Amino acid sequence: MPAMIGMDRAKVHVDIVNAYAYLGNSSYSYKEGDLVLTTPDADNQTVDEMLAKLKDRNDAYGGLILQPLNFSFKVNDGLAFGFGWAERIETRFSFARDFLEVAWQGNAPYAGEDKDLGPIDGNVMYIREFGVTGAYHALSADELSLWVAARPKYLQGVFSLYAPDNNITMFTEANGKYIDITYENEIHASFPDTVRPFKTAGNGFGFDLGGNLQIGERLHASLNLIDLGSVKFKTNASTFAANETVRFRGVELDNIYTDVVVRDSAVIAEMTPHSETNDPYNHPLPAKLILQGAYRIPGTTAGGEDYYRHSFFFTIVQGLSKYSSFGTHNILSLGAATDIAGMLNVGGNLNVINFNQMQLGAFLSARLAVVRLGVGTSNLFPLLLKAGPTSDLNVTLGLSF
Amino acid sequence: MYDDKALPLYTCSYILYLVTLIYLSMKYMKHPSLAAVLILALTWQACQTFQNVKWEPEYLGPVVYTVIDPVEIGNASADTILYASEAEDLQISNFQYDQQFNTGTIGPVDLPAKHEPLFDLFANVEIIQGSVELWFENTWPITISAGTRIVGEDSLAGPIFDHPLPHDVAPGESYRDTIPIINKNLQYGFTIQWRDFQSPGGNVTFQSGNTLDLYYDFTLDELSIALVKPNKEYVLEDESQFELNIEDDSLLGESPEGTLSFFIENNLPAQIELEMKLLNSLGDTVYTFFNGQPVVVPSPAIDGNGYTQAPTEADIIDAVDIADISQINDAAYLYTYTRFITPSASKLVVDNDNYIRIQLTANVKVKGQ
Repeated sequence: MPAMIGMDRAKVHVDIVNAYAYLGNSSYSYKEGDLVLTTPDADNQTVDEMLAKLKDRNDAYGGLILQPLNFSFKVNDGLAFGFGWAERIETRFSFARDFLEVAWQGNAPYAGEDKDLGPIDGNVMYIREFGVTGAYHALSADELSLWVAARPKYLQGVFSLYAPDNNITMFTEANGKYIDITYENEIHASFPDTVRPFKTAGNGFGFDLGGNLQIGERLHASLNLIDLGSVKFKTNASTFAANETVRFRGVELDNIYTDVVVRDSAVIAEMTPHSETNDPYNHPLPAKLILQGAYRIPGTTAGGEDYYRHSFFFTIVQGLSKYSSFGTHNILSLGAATDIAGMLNVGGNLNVINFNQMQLGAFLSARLAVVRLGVGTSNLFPLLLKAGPTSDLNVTLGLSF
Repeated sequence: MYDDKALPLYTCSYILYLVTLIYLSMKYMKHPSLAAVLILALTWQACQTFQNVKWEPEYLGPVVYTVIDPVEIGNASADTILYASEAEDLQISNFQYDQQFNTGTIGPVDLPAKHEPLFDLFANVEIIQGSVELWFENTWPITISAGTRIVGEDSLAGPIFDHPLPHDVAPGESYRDTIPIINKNLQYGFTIQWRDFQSPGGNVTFQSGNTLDLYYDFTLDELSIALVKPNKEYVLEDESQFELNIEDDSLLGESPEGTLSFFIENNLPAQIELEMKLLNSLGDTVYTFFNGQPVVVPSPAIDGNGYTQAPTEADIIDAVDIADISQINDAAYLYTYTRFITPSASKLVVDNDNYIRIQLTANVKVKGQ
């Protein structure tokens, strides 16, 4: 959150390593996935059970964010600046249980009924982000302190697959006389011919905006808008679109009374109609609204340094961009942390994802002289118990002075 | 015909082969994508994990169909016709058979016209585009001169074609040509005739019984409208080459399960009776469809102007058990016997909107691994 650079007690903060990785899905726990992959006797019943566990709409996602360089410094008590470089790979795929059920069982069990096979959405993005942060102490009174910040970001797109709002509906006539397939698809893709470290396929701009309010000594509140913006992919950009219904009646035979001719060459093309253009397209960032409130109990170290001895906080994250890699998911988090002598900070948080998934997270950071090391996860269950469908890991190594 | 060399598309090894190809194709990048490596590894692991899973989706849907239109029926029903001419019709004054004599210069003379019915099922055909192929061998001992005309006429519609020979055709030589027909009307009153027959003649001997045989064959490409003869039965029998090689490791597996169904839609002004059999290379029957009974599809209702109204249908559900596929594998020919029985009406019309549609659908379990 951009305004945090102004509230850091250290004048200079440099991250040497800052990495965040996440992997998860909305249907299977790590335990279930591990069981399936390591069980040698998976059979048809196993597949039936796996399909039964799927929801109507299912998500699978993963990502890796690396910050090779990130530093900030306070000019004075009223102004702070920062610069960050991040490599971001973020993916999310959405699919419907019905699609897999039809693939597994065939279309015959669903004859005579409209079968909605969607949504089938995909989002893969690798971008490079260069951000400059400016934070300003807008209000400094006895009991009130307000920092506001903005972080404009220059974005370079490396590759992208952006397939928002795709749907396929199938209808099989009761006796199999025809199969109607309705396509509502729009798929954008931009992949380079060769993958080179700094070869890009597009660029764009993003913004992070934030404000931090401190009331008295202990109450904190912040409101942030993160990842507003998009990347326009131009190189090797392709868009495949279809919005029509096709009817499959079989392969046509001609000249039945003479030399039979099989007209099968166009069947595949006729059944998968799409238009293809090579226009640039915009791939949106996973915009989020983050609201956080905290109650912090201050303390003083033996050396006379101020720190927050205990912290209790709640965080609400709401995704704003339906077809981005985060979508419109929401996270509600309640947490607490304890700082021991300003050197060791340990805490945990209880997270609820989309009001139906619970996760238990933990974090630990240590400070030795100017060196800071931190590690944390929003979900311990997969790491410890192989339970739960989603986990992540954040590792930070930096300098603060 | 339809050659179904089915591929084992759904075997784990084939999927792995495809994914390997994708990965290797990405190797032309200097830095192979981590995603490709991950996909390859996950696919290999998935194939190992699910090797005991039998993937057998059940497919219900169309396989093949054919639409038979009046043009196709007309061409199938139009036989090659012979117009045979007697030598004495050349009107040579001293003509005699089996004796050598000098004919002198012959013609120009018109040989007697012959009438022949065309397109047996049709009473009247308006051809937008078609053709007639003419061919003969000059079996007479005289040269037929260039300029000699072959003329086809309809007694009501007038000339259909008038084709002068472009060069001399000597004794023993053959001649063949195709003449386009555009926007012509053909009816029962069609006649064909040699006109302006010319020859330089010579000292020759005509054999008795030796006729000059001219063959002609009409082909429809597109017709505007045709009248069909009411209260008439017409039969089309045909053998088409047919091959269906479904191997044991195909999508249907070693023990196929399922059935094939036929759906026939009739929009011709005729009742259709259809029989089908499969024959081996020796002509013996290896499989009889519909239990040997003809499928009867009634004629659609006819309106006051002679046009068909709504098509009629015949559904033969589960006509073929896929378990009999081994018999079908021995087939070399598809034999069809189609009987058209036109109803009683003052007028029966067909045009390019009329058709018979025969569709084959399948309800089968596809075997994967």
